[in-house]
Amino acid sequence: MTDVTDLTLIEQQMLMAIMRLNPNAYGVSIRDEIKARINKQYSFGSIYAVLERLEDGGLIESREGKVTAIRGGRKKLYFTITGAGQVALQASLNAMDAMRAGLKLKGALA
Amino acid sequence: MSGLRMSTPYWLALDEKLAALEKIEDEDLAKVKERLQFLTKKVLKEGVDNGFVVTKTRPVSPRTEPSRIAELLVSWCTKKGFREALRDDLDEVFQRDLSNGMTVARARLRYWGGALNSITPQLLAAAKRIGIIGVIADYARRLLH
Repeated sequence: MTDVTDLTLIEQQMLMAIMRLNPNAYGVSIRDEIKARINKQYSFGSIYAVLERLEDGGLIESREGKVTAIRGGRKKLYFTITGAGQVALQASLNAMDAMRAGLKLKGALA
Repeated sequence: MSGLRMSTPYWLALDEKLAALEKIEDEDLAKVKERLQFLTKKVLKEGVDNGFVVTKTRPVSPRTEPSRIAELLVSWCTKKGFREALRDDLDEVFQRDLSNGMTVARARLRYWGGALNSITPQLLAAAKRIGIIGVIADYARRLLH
């Protein structure tokens, strides 16, 4: 049995967005990525609350980037997923797939 | 001259003529353009002098910075760890809105929306946990630390 780490939906989404954007995942790009893919716009407050939780759990790491003109000479805070984060995400998605397997949802395409 | 004309092949003569014509046309066009610009300026000046034409200076746009109060609110109500990053993200979105042609007023309104959206969950959570008096006490404690 896979060791299932309890990740919430927003945590899964954040981790996948960080993986997709690697190595350019920071607050604005993460929010834009989620908005572009699932048309859901989280507030920065929600995003950073989740990012803080994930970082505390060792699932992501943050590093300061270089100074950019677009941010008025201030640095961006970039996030990358750790090995533990990838394991946790995989376990969480597996658990979701296991629960979904064999279910026939009304209105589903396949 | 007649000897030269006789000895010059007809296609070369035609080429020379075309080149000369093009040069004349370019020169003429440049002169016409210059003359038109001069006349336009003159007519406009006369119009302004006689009160037929009114000139207007474009209004200076309001400052292109987000609301200072909203910035302070975000600084006060968010946790220390990601405070700077959150504020910079809001600022980046504000600047992006402006560069996309949004008016300053609308961009600032959106900044306010983003700021309130960002602090509301934290405020509510704190208020639930310790009550509104506790929020104030917590804030005062953080100030003194």
